[in-house]
Amino acid sequence: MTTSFLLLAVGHNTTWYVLPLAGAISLVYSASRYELTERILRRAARLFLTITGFMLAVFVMLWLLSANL
Amino acid sequence: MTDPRIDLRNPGLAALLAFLFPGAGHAYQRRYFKAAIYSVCVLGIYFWGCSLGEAKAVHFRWDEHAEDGQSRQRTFGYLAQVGVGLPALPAVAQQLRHAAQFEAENSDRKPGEVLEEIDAEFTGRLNHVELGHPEITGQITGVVRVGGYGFDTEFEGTFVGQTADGNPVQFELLGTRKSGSLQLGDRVTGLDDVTMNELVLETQELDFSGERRRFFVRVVDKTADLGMIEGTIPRPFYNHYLAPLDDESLQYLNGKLGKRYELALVYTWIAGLLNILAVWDAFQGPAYGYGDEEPEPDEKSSDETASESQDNSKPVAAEAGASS
Repeated sequence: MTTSFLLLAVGHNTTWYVLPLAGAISLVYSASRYELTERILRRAARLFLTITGFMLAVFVMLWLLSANL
Repeated sequence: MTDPRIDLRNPGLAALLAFLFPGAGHAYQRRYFKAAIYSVCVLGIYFWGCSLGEAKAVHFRWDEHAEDGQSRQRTFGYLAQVGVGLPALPAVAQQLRHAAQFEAENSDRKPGEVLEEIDAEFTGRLNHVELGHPEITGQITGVVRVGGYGFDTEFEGTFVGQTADGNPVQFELLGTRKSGSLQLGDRVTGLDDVTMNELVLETQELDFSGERRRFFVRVVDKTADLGMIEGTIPRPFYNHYLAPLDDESLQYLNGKLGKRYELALVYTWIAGLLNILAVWDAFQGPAYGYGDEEPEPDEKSSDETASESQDNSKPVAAEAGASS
């Protein structure tokens, strides 16, 4: 019951919309920096991880701060 | 300076193509991988945003004056969205058409001047003193004119159709906006309140549509008032696609879609802004270089780690040489 509720909440959370956006931003930004395919893809992967990692860190920080509220 | 290995062909033309259709400039320069990235990412994000906003996230409004007590609208977000090029550009033409319509209806005008001719299929309800309130469908023909003394708008025409149970009906129609006997939705607008007057007003819920246009007008017999027909006529695609929205429609959209409308705006803004990078890349080439230059120290260390993890020991410069 709780698991299905959590899955439903996760599925409807608009935060997930940031992932394709971060992917597109990473690819386009990296493509505008370099010409070489492999370099573009590698830089895009790094940028994507940086963006999502930063957002995850902010999320965890806010979650911890609001733990006892 | 652009790397000599990159053939930008005609950079100005490539930049124009890249602006008009994301990826087209790079395809023209035969940089097909980049063309694929730009077109898929920019257009994918843009049309996904349009889909989230039910095709109403992109519109351009630049009012010089407040309209009918509404606040002056200026959609600064469109200045980002227009970066996508052709998919967003029709909004400018729609704003110009909307402004021309507003100007025609609110400037000093000659009485009797024809503003619009209407010949459209009507669907709605009849509020008639003798016939009651049957559902009716039929053809509306008539003209929208400037009213007497050069102000207000009036409609004069006919309705020929039938009731829901198949009885043929025909009426003369005559209404003026000022008296409340004519309610005509804007010819060019993205969304419009098309709600019929409910008999019990307390239960009335507003209904909005871009494809339908509100059309309420008085039914007359010579000069006697027999009631009104209330319903909608079609609004052609070219009169609502990317057309401006008024305050009421925006409130409706925000209420209906909630966060999805905000997401739609963000997606379409970002798509337009990303394409600026693509346009610059088409015009000037990649900002940092070809890609086989010696990486920065911090990048080098992470690249080495990535290379080790992928068991890929082939040098980047060697690959560049092979590909060129």
